[in-house]
Amino acid sequence: MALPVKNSLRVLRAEREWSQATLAEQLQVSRQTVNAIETGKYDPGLPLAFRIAGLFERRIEDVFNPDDGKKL
Amino acid sequence: MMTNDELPRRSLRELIQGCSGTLQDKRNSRWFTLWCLAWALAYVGAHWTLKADLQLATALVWLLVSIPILLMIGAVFSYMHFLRNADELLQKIQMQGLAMGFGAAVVFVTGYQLLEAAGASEMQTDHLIIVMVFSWMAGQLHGSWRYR
Repeated sequence: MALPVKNSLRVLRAEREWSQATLAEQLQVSRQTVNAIETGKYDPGLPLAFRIAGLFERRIEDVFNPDDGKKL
Repeated sequence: MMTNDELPRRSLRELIQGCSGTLQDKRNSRWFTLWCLAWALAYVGAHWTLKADLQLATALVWLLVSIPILLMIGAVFSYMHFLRNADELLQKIQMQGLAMGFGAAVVFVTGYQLLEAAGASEMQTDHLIIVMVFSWMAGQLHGSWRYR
């Protein structure tokens, strides 16, 4: 069974006052991908997850967490 | 500023693809469409010429048959290039569409074989292609709706 994952992408993006389009451009993905990740409809693959964490200068576990109430 | 968050209006092709993708995806998708158009024109032209009973030389018949086949092979490679380089959400939606197209083809072929055994007319390959293409598009629309 797939492990549900929560992420703080919307918060991190808001801190930098970036639009979804701006973030998508920096990550070289579509804006729909950013939107789907933020709304929890899509969990990114590892390479994209690392790119997101790197862009915000955070550890990957600071951005993505399993949705089981426990922090990694 | 956190603006431009609403989903923009999307073209019918983007809606069918489920995700408009990056600029590179759009460029690759355009190439695939061009290959398909070239194949369709060559196919219709070859079909019409071969059916017209023009007493063509054997070499010309082979040429007429080969051109659409080569163009379709080009279209397949173009699609594979598009899929390999696509945005990862677009890849997922496309794979879902392909799975639905393949699954529908299996259901259609096995189901129709039983109908043939029960006395229905022989299956036309055109019908199978139509079922596959429409199921592929339906799968992409479903993915588009799911990740909207």
